[in-house]
Amino acid sequence: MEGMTMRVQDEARLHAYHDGELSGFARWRFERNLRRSPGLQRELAELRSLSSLLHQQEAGGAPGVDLWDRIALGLPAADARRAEDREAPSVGRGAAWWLKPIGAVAATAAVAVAYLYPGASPTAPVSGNVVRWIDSGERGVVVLEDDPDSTIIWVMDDAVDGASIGGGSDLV
Amino acid sequence: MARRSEAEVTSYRTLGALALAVGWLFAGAAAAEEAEKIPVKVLVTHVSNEGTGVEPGGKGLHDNFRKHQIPFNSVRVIKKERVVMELDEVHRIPLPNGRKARIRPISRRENSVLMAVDVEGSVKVDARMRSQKPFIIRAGKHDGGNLVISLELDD
Repeated sequence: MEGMTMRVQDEARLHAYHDGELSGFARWRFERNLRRSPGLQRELAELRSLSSLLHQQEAGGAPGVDLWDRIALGLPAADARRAEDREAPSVGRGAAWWLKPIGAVAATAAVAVAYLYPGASPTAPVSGNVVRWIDSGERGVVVLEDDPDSTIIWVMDDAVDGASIGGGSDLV
Repeated sequence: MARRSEAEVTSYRTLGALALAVGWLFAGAAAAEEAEKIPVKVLVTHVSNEGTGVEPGGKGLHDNFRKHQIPFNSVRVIKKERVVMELDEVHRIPLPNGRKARIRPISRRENSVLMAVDVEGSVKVDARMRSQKPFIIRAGKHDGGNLVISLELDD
Protein backbone atom coordinates (compact mmCIF):
# COMPACT_ATOMS: atom_id res chain seq x y z
CA MET A 1 0.00 0.00 0.00
CA GLU A 2 2.83 2.31 0.95
CA GLY A 3 4.62 1.41 -2.28
CA MET A 4 1.52 2.26 -4.25
CA THR A 5 1.27 5.65 -2.52
CA MET A 6 4.90 6.32 -3.36
CA ARG A 7 4.29 5.32 -6.94
CA VAL A 8 1.34 7.71 -7.25
CA GLN A 9 3.44 10.50 -5.74
CA ASP A 10 6.31 9.79 -8.13
CA GLU A 11 3.97 9.87 -11.06
CA ALA A 12 2.43 13.16 -9.92
CA ARG A 13 5.90 14.67 -9.54
CA LEU A 14 6.92 13.32 -12.93
CA HIS A 15 3.99 15.02 -14.61
CA ALA A 16 4.55 18.21 -12.63
CA TYR A 17 8.21 18.23 -13.65
CA HIS A 18 7.32 17.57 -17.26
CA ASP A 19 4.84 20.44 -17.22
CA GLY A 20 7.37 22.80 -15.66
CA GLU A 21 5.40 23.05 -12.45
CA LEU A 22 8.19 22.05 -10.08
CA SER A 23 10.44 24.79 -8.92
CA GLY A 24 13.27 25.38 -6.52
CA PHE A 25 14.04 22.61 -4.10
CA ALA A 26 11.30 20.27 -5.40
CA ARG A 27 12.73 20.52 -8.88
CA TRP A 28 16.26 19.91 -7.63
CA ARG A 29 15.14 16.89 -5.62
CA PHE A 30 13.28 15.46 -8.56
CA GLU A 31 16.27 15.93 -10.86
CA ARG A 32 18.47 14.20 -8.34
CA ASN A 33 16.08 11.22 -8.29
CA LEU A 34 15.85 11.36 -12.05
CA ARG A 35 19.60 11.12 -12.37
CA ARG A 36 19.63 8.01 -10.21
CA SER A 37 16.65 6.25 -11.68
CA PRO A 38 16.78 4.82 -15.23
CA GLY A 39 13.10 3.91 -14.84
CA LEU A 40 12.14 7.49 -14.14
CA GLN A 41 14.30 8.71 -17.04
CA ARG A 42 12.52 6.26 -19.29
CA GLU A 43 9.10 7.39 -18.16
CA LEU A 44 10.03 11.03 -18.66
CA ALA A 45 11.36 10.30 -22.15
CA GLU A 46 8.15 8.49 -23.04
CA LEU A 47 6.05 11.29 -21.64
CA ARG A 48 8.00 13.80 -23.73
CA SER A 49 7.58 11.72 -26.89
CA LEU A 50 3.88 11.39 -26.28
CA SER A 51 3.56 15.07 -25.56
CA SER A 52 5.35 15.95 -28.81
CA LEU A 53 3.04 13.71 -30.76
CA LEU A 54 -0.02 15.26 -29.17
CA HIS A 55 1.18 18.78 -29.83
CA GLN A 56 1.86 17.85 -33.41
CA GLN A 57 -1.61 16.45 -33.84
CA GLU A 58 -3.17 19.48 -32.18
CA ALA A 59 -1.29 21.71 -34.58
CA GLY A 60 -2.83 19.71 -37.42
CA GLY A 61 0.42 19.52 -39.36
CA ALA A 62 2.58 16.60 -40.34
CA PRO A 63 5.25 15.70 -37.83
CA GLY A 64 8.52 17.44 -38.53
CA VAL A 65 11.79 15.76 -39.42
CA ASP A 66 13.07 15.89 -35.87
CA LEU A 67 9.96 14.22 -34.58
CA TRP A 68 10.25 11.42 -37.12
CA ASP A 69 13.88 11.02 -36.16
CA ARG A 70 12.93 10.66 -32.54
CA ILE A 71 10.16 8.20 -33.29
CA ALA A 72 12.36 6.17 -35.63
CA LEU A 73 15.17 6.05 -33.11
CA GLY A 74 12.73 5.36 -30.32
CA LEU A 75 11.33 2.16 -31.76
CA PRO A 76 14.46 0.05 -31.37
CA ALA A 77 15.03 1.71 -28.03
CA ALA A 78 11.88 0.19 -26.62
CA ASP A 79 13.17 -3.27 -27.49
CA ALA A 80 16.55 -2.50 -26.03
CA ARG A 81 14.99 -1.43 -22.77
CA ARG A 82 12.94 -4.58 -22.62
CA ALA A 83 16.11 -6.58 -23.17
CA GLU A 84 17.74 -4.73 -20.30
CA ASP A 85 14.77 -5.14 -18.03
CA ARG A 86 14.72 -8.89 -18.56
CA GLU A 87 18.36 -9.28 -18.12
CA ALA A 88 20.16 -9.99 -14.86
CA PRO A 89 23.33 -7.98 -14.16
CA SER A 90 25.87 -8.99 -16.75
CA VAL A 91 28.88 -9.51 -14.50
CA GLY A 92 31.14 -12.16 -15.93
CA ARG A 93 29.05 -12.68 -19.01
CA GLY A 94 31.22 -13.73 -21.91
CA ALA A 95 31.03 -13.78 -25.65
CA ALA A 96 28.95 -16.96 -25.54
CA TRP A 97 25.95 -14.70 -25.12
CA TRP A 98 26.14 -14.09 -28.81
CA LEU A 99 25.55 -17.74 -29.55
CA LYS A 100 21.97 -17.27 -28.47
CA PRO A 101 19.64 -17.16 -31.43
CA ILE A 102 18.29 -13.78 -32.42
CA GLY A 103 14.65 -14.58 -32.98
CA ALA A 104 14.32 -16.65 -36.10
CA VAL A 105 17.80 -15.69 -37.25
CA ALA A 106 20.65 -17.54 -35.62
CA ALA A 107 24.34 -16.79 -35.71
CA THR A 108 25.93 -18.73 -38.53
CA ALA A 109 29.57 -18.43 -37.62
CA ALA A 110 31.71 -17.63 -34.64
CA VAL A 111 35.39 -16.99 -35.00
CA ALA A 112 37.17 -16.12 -31.77
CA VAL A 113 34.97 -13.37 -30.36
CA ALA A 114 33.61 -12.30 -33.71
CA TYR A 115 30.06 -13.30 -34.46
CA LEU A 116 28.63 -13.09 -37.90
CA TYR A 117 24.92 -12.60 -38.41
CA PRO A 118 23.21 -13.06 -41.74
CA GLY A 119 21.26 -9.86 -41.33
CA ALA A 120 20.39 -9.20 -37.74
CA SER A 121 16.65 -9.15 -37.46
CA PRO A 122 14.71 -6.52 -35.57
CA THR A 123 12.21 -9.14 -34.45
CA ALA A 124 13.90 -9.63 -31.12
CA PRO A 125 16.40 -7.73 -29.07
CA VAL A 126 19.80 -9.19 -28.35
CA SER A 127 21.47 -9.15 -24.98
CA GLY A 128 25.18 -8.72 -25.28
CA ASN A 129 27.26 -6.63 -22.92
CA VAL A 130 27.21 -3.66 -25.25
CA VAL A 131 24.85 -4.24 -28.15
CA ARG A 132 21.25 -4.48 -26.98
CA TRP A 133 19.41 -4.47 -30.27
CA ILE A 134 20.53 -4.53 -33.87
CA ASP A 135 18.90 -4.42 -37.28
CA SER A 136 21.07 -4.62 -40.37
CA GLY A 137 18.27 -5.49 -42.77
CA GLU A 138 19.44 -8.09 -45.25
CA ARG A 139 23.09 -7.43 -44.63
CA GLY A 140 25.34 -9.64 -42.60
CA VAL A 141 26.99 -8.06 -39.61
CA VAL A 142 29.99 -9.00 -37.51
CA VAL A 143 29.91 -7.89 -33.91
CA LEU A 144 33.17 -7.72 -31.97
CA GLU A 145 32.12 -6.65 -28.51
CA ASP A 146 34.10 -8.71 -26.05
CA ASP A 147 37.07 -6.42 -26.08
CA PRO A 148 37.62 -4.06 -23.15
CA ASP A 149 38.96 -1.35 -25.45
CA SER A 150 36.34 -1.15 -28.20
CA THR A 151 33.25 -2.57 -29.81
CA ILE A 152 33.23 -3.01 -33.57
CA ILE A 153 30.12 -3.42 -35.71
CA TRP A 154 31.15 -4.43 -39.20
CA VAL A 155 28.23 -4.37 -41.60
CA MET A 156 28.68 -6.29 -44.85
CA ASP A 157 27.55 -4.82 -48.14
CA ASP A 158 26.02 -8.00 -49.51
CA ALA A 159 24.85 -11.44 -48.48
CA VAL A 160 27.08 -13.06 -45.92
CA ASP A 161 27.77 -16.40 -47.57
CA GLY A 162 31.49 -16.95 -47.21
CA ALA A 163 32.10 -13.51 -45.78
CA SER A 164 34.40 -13.13 -42.84
CA ILE A 165 36.10 -10.30 -41.13
CA GLY A 166 39.67 -9.79 -42.30
CA GLY A 167 38.96 -10.76 -45.86
CA GLY A 168 36.54 -10.25 -48.68
CA SER A 169 35.45 -7.25 -50.66
CA ASP A 170 33.79 -5.50 -47.71
CA LEU A 171 37.13 -4.58 -46.26
CA VAL A 172 38.43 -2.47 -49.13
CA MET B 1 32.14 49.91 21.65
CA ALA B 2 28.72 48.46 22.26
CA ARG B 3 28.54 44.72 22.55
CA ARG B 4 26.20 42.91 20.26
CA SER B 5 23.24 41.35 21.95
CA GLU B 6 22.95 37.58 22.08
CA ALA B 7 19.85 37.74 19.88
CA GLU B 8 21.74 39.72 17.25
CA VAL B 9 24.58 37.18 17.19
CA THR B 10 22.08 34.34 16.84
CA SER B 11 20.42 36.14 13.91
CA TYR B 12 23.76 36.54 12.14
CA ARG B 13 24.51 32.87 12.69
CA THR B 14 21.10 31.85 11.35
CA LEU B 15 21.57 34.05 8.29
CA GLY B 16 25.01 32.59 7.71
CA ALA B 17 23.67 29.05 7.94
CA LEU B 18 20.86 29.92 5.54
CA ALA B 19 23.28 31.43 3.05
CA LEU B 20 25.40 28.28 3.23
CA ALA B 21 22.34 26.07 2.71
CA VAL B 22 21.18 28.11 -0.29
CA GLY B 23 24.68 27.98 -1.79
CA TRP B 24 24.79 24.23 -1.29
CA LEU B 25 21.39 23.83 -2.95
CA PHE B 26 22.41 25.86 -5.98
CA ALA B 27 25.67 23.96 -6.27
CA GLY B 28 23.74 20.68 -6.09
CA ALA B 29 21.26 21.83 -8.73
CA ALA B 30 24.08 22.91 -11.03
CA ALA B 31 25.80 19.56 -10.55
CA ALA B 32 22.54 17.74 -11.33
CA GLU B 33 22.11 19.75 -14.49
CA GLU B 34 25.68 19.04 -15.52
CA ALA B 35 25.16 15.31 -14.90
CA GLU B 36 22.30 15.32 -17.41
CA LYS B 37 24.70 16.36 -20.16
CA ILE B 38 26.15 13.59 -22.24
CA PRO B 39 29.38 14.47 -24.02
CA VAL B 40 30.10 12.26 -27.01
CA LYS B 41 33.21 12.16 -29.17
CA VAL B 42 32.34 11.55 -32.82
CA LEU B 43 34.96 10.52 -35.32
CA VAL B 44 34.19 9.89 -39.00
CA THR B 45 37.03 8.27 -40.92
CA HIS B 46 37.89 6.72 -44.23
CA VAL B 47 39.81 3.48 -43.79
CA SER B 48 41.45 1.60 -46.63
CA ASN B 49 44.56 -0.10 -47.86
CA GLU B 50 45.62 2.79 -50.07
CA GLY B 51 48.98 2.94 -48.35
CA THR B 52 48.65 6.61 -47.41
CA GLY B 53 49.27 5.98 -43.74
CA VAL B 54 47.39 6.62 -40.54
CA GLU B 55 46.60 10.21 -39.62
CA PRO B 56 47.27 11.09 -35.96
CA GLY B 57 43.56 11.41 -35.15
CA GLY B 58 42.94 7.90 -36.46
CA LYS B 59 45.68 6.12 -34.54
CA GLY B 60 43.38 4.79 -31.82
CA LEU B 61 40.99 3.43 -34.40
CA HIS B 62 43.85 1.81 -36.31
CA ASP B 63 45.12 0.21 -33.10
CA ASN B 64 41.68 -1.22 -32.42
CA PHE B 65 41.47 -2.69 -35.91
CA ARG B 66 44.95 -4.10 -35.67
CA LYS B 67 44.10 -5.75 -32.38
CA HIS B 68 41.40 -7.69 -34.20
CA GLN B 69 43.65 -8.44 -37.17
CA ILE B 70 41.58 -6.23 -39.42
CA PRO B 71 44.11 -5.29 -42.07
CA PHE B 72 43.99 -1.57 -42.90
CA ASN B 73 47.07 0.53 -43.45
CA SER B 74 45.40 3.88 -44.07
CA VAL B 75 43.10 5.93 -41.88
CA ARG B 76 42.01 9.41 -42.94
CA VAL B 77 40.07 11.57 -40.51
CA ILE B 78 37.08 13.18 -42.22
CA LYS B 79 35.36 14.71 -39.23
CA LYS B 80 36.07 14.94 -35.56
CA GLU B 81 33.73 16.61 -33.12
CA ARG B 82 32.62 16.59 -29.54
CA VAL B 83 28.91 17.01 -29.02
CA VAL B 84 27.21 17.57 -25.70
CA MET B 85 23.82 15.94 -25.79
CA GLU B 86 20.87 15.56 -23.51
CA LEU B 87 18.76 12.46 -23.04
CA ASP B 88 16.38 11.95 -25.93
CA GLU B 89 18.11 14.54 -28.11
CA VAL B 90 18.89 13.55 -31.70
CA HIS B 91 22.22 14.51 -33.24
CA ARG B 92 22.78 14.07 -36.97
CA ILE B 93 26.14 13.23 -38.45
CA PRO B 94 26.31 13.94 -42.18
CA LEU B 95 28.47 11.43 -44.02
CA PRO B 96 30.53 12.10 -47.16
CA ASN B 97 28.57 9.47 -49.09
CA GLY B 98 25.49 11.71 -48.85
CA ARG B 99 23.89 9.66 -46.14
CA LYS B 100 23.68 10.46 -42.49
CA ALA B 101 23.95 8.83 -39.14
CA ARG B 102 21.80 9.76 -36.19
CA ILE B 103 22.45 9.17 -32.54
CA ARG B 104 20.18 9.56 -29.53
CA PRO B 105 20.97 8.87 -25.87
CA ILE B 106 18.11 6.87 -24.41
CA SER B 107 19.05 6.39 -20.80
CA ARG B 108 21.95 6.85 -18.50
CA ARG B 109 23.47 4.69 -15.81
CA GLU B 110 26.41 5.50 -13.59
CA ASN B 111 29.12 5.19 -16.19
CA SER B 112 27.31 4.23 -19.35
CA VAL B 113 24.67 5.48 -21.72
CA LEU B 114 22.23 3.44 -23.77
CA MET B 115 22.51 5.01 -27.21
CA ALA B 116 20.36 4.49 -30.30
CA VAL B 117 22.39 4.72 -33.48
CA ASP B 118 20.95 4.71 -36.98
CA VAL B 119 23.36 4.68 -39.89
CA GLU B 120 21.24 5.36 -42.92
CA GLY B 121 21.28 2.45 -45.36
CA SER B 122 23.48 0.34 -43.11
CA VAL B 123 22.51 -0.59 -39.60
CA LYS B 124 20.39 0.43 -36.64
CA VAL B 125 21.71 -0.48 -33.28
CA ASP B 126 21.06 0.25 -29.62
CA ALA B 127 24.19 -0.09 -27.56
CA ARG B 128 25.35 0.66 -24.06
CA MET B 129 28.35 2.91 -24.45
CA ARG B 130 31.04 3.66 -21.96
CA SER B 131 33.85 6.14 -21.82
CA GLN B 132 37.27 4.92 -22.92
CA LYS B 133 35.55 2.30 -25.06
CA PRO B 134 34.83 3.51 -28.58
CA PHE B 135 31.87 2.09 -30.43
CA ILE B 136 32.96 1.60 -34.03
CA ILE B 137 30.55 1.09 -36.91
CA ARG B 138 31.22 0.53 -40.57
CA ALA B 139 28.94 2.86 -42.50
CA GLY B 140 29.49 1.39 -45.96
CA LYS B 141 31.90 1.63 -48.86
CA HIS B 142 33.24 4.99 -49.92
CA ASP B 143 35.91 6.25 -52.27
CA GLY B 144 37.75 2.96 -52.63
CA GLY B 145 37.60 2.19 -48.92
CA ASN B 146 35.20 2.19 -46.01
CA LEU B 147 33.48 4.86 -44.01
CA VAL B 148 33.81 4.19 -40.33
CA ILE B 149 32.12 6.05 -37.49
CA SER B 150 33.53 5.91 -34.00
CA LEU B 151 31.47 7.07 -31.02
CA GLU B 152 32.75 7.38 -27.49
CA LEU B 153 31.46 8.87 -24.27
CA ASP B 154 33.71 11.69 -23.17
CA ASP B 155 32.87 11.78 -19.45
